[in-house]
Amino acid sequence: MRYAFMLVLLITITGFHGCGNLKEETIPPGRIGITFWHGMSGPLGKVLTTMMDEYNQSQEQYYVIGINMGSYDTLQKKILASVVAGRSPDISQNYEALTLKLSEAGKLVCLDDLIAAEPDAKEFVADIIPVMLRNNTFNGKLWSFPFNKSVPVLYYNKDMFREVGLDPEKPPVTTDQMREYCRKLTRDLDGDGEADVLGYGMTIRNEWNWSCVFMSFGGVLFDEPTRRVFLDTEAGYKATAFYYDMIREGTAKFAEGYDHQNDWLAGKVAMFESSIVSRVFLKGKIRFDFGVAPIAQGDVRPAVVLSGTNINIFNSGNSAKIAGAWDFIKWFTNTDNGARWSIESTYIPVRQSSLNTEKIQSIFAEDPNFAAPYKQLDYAEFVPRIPDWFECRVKISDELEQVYIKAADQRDSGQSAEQDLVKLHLERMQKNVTGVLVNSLETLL
Amino acid sequence: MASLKWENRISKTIIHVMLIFGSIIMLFPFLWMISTSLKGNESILSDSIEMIPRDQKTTLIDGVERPLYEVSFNNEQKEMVLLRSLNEGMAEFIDPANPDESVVLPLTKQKPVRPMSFHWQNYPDAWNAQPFGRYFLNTIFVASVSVLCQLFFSSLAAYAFAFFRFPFKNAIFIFLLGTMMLPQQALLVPNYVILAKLHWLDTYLALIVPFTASVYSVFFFRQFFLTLPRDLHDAATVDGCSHMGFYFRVLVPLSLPPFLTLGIFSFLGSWNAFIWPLIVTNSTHLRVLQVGLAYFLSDAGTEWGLLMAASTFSIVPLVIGYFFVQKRFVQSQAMTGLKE
Repeated sequence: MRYAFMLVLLITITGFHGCGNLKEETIPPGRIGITFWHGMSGPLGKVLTTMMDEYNQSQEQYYVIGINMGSYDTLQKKILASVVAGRSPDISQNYEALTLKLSEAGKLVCLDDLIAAEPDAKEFVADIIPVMLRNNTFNGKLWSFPFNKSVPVLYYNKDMFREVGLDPEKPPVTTDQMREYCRKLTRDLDGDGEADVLGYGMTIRNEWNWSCVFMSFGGVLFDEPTRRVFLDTEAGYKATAFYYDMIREGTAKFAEGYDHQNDWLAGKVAMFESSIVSRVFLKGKIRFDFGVAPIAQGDVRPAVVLSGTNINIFNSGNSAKIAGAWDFIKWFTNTDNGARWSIESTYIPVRQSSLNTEKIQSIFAEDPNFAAPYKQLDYAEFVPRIPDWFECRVKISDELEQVYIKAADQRDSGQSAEQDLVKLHLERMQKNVTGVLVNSLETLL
Repeated sequence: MASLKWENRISKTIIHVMLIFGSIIMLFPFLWMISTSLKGNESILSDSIEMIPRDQKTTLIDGVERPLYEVSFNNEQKEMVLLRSLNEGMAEFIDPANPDESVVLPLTKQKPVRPMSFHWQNYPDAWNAQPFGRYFLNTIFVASVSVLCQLFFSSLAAYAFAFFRFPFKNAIFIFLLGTMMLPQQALLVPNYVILAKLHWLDTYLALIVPFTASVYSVFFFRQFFLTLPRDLHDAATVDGCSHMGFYFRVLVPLSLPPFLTLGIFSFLGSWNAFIWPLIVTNSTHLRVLQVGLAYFLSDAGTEWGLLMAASTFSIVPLVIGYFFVQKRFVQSQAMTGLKE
C-alpha cells in the first residue's frame, strides 16, 4: 500500500512537471495574442474556426485564439466568473442582457470611440443593418457589435403541400391561414384512424416563436422605464390560443428540444418554425422538396424577434490588445467576410453592403429559400435587454409548457376546448414574470 | 425430496428470468448507443426502433431524393419510387426506369427498401472532430491522480475523526458535513476566483486539487473506521506503532472495501465531470473527454451519430477497467454494509 502512495506522488510530480512541456496553439513571436471566447460548436463552430485561421494568415500583427465554451450558458457563467476574478478574455460572444451590466461596471470598451477613429466612420455606421445597431446601443452608446444574429423562419414540406392540393409556393402568411393549412395537412396515411402527419411541429418551450406571434398581435412585452410586462393581455391570449387550439385539434404537435426538426425531417409534420441556422443542421438530411418562408403573423403588425449573440471587447487596459480585438471584429464583419459568414453559417450579415454583394445576390436568385429571413429584417425587434429577462423567459416557457401539455391531454381524452385554461396560465405568467422583475437580483451583479 | 429439487429449480428459473430481464433493461441504453453510433442520419431520426442500422434506398427524381419501395401489383414484385402520399392510405408510385407511368397502391402494403448499412465512418469522423487522444490522456491522468489523492487525504481526515480525541471534534465534523449542503453551482464563481488568485487557472492543478479531498469520502471512511475494534488501535499503540504506521499497516489493509467503493465512484465522477473542467481551462491540451463530447451538441441541433460514436469510445476504458475490478467491486459493495 505504501508503494501505491509513492506511485501517486510520482505520477503527481511527473504530471505537473509534464504539463509545462505540452504544446498548445501558440502565438507566433512578434504578434499580439487576442483570446476570443465563444460558444459555437458543430458545423457552425467549424466555419468560425476556419475564418479565424484565415484572419491569422491574412496579417502579421495579431493572432486570434478562439476558445469554445461548449454552450452559451457555460460561456455566460465563465464570463461572470472571469470578470469577478479579473481574468476576462479580450473578446467574447455575449447576450445583450449582460452587456449593459458589464458596461456599467466599466468592464467593456465603448465601440463608439473605436469607430470614431475610423477614416470612414460615418459610412461605417450607416452600413450596419439598423435593427442590429439599435440592438447593440445602450444609453446612446454602442457597447457591443452584432456577430451571429438570426431570426425564426417557417420550414415547410412542399411535397406535402402538393399532396393535399395546396400551392407549394404559397406558405401560410397569417396565423389564421396557418390553422387552416394545418387542418389540411394533417392526414391519416395508413387508415388506422390516427393522424400520421400533422400540420405543424414545435418545440415545447417555444417562447421565442410565441414572442413573435405575441408582438404581431400587437403585444408589448416590456416597458423599460417602469419595468412592467403586459403578458396577460388580448395579444397574449391570442398568441397562446393559437398554439393551444392547434394542439388540441390535433393538427400540431410539440417535442422536446430540437426534436420537432427531426419530426419534420422524418415526415411526421409538414411545417415547423425554427431559427434560420437550423438549415445548417438540416443540410443533406432533407429527402423532399422544401421551402423556407417568413413566419406566420398575427393581425396587428408584422413582427419577428432577433436572436443570437453580439461580441464584446473587454477593457483590459492594454491598448494594443483592444486595437487587435477591434481589427478582428472589423475583418470578420466586413462586406466580403460578412457575406461569406452568412452563406456558410446562414446567420444574417451585419452589413447592408454584404447583402448587396454579388455572392449573396446570386444565391438569392438561385435559391429563393435563402432570401426568406431577409424579408423579415424590416420588422425585426428584440426582447428586453436586462439580465432578469433570462429568468423571465423561463417563467414564460413554464406556463406555455403547461398549456401545451394540457391541450394534448384534452385532445387525447376528447375533452372540449377550455379557453379559461389559457387565461389562467396567462395570469400566472404575468404574476411570475412580474415577481422576477420586482424581486430583481440585478443590482447584485 | 424430488419436490424439493423441483421447487429449487423453479425458484432458480424465476430468479434467472428476473435477472435476465433486468440485465436487458440495463444493457439496452448501451446497445442503443452503439446501434445509433453506426446509423446514418435518416435512420437515426426514423420512427421505427431498429437495432440493426439500415438505410432507406433512394433514387433521384427531379432533383429530389425519393424513397424506393418493394411494390407488389399485377402479381409481380418491383422496386418503385414513392412519389407522394395520397389520402386514405393510398400512395403514388413510379418506376424509376419509366417515370411517366405511375400506379396508385395502398402504402401500408408496400415494403420500403432498407438494406443493412453500417456507418463505420462515424467513428473516425467523431475521433477527428476533436483531439480525443489528448482528451483521453487528460481524463485518465486527472481522474487517477485526483482519486488517489482523495482517498489518501480523506482517509487521513477520517482517521483523525475516528481515533483521535480533540476539542470540538463533533462540532467540526458537523460543520464539515454542513458544507455538503451547498450546491455546486453556488460554489462555481467563488472557487474560480480562488483559483485565479492562486494563478492555477488553465493548469492541471485546477482540474485536480479541488478534488483531492471530499467531505463525503471523509464521512464514509469515518463511519467505516468506527466499526473497526478500537482494541486494534490500542494494541498497536502499546506495541509502539506510530499513527502513520497504524494507518499503513493496519487501517488501510483492513479498509479495502471503502477504498475500492469510494475509488470507483470518485473515478466515475471525475471521468464524467463537465462544467468544472470547462470553466477552469482554456487550452485544448488541458481539456477532458466530456468537454469533447459537448462539441457535438449545439445551438440548433445535435449530431447524434457522431455523439454516440464518441460516447461509445469514451466509455470503452471504463468498461475494460470494470472487467478487471468486477469481483472486487461486487465484494466491496457487499462488505461496506456490514457491521460487527
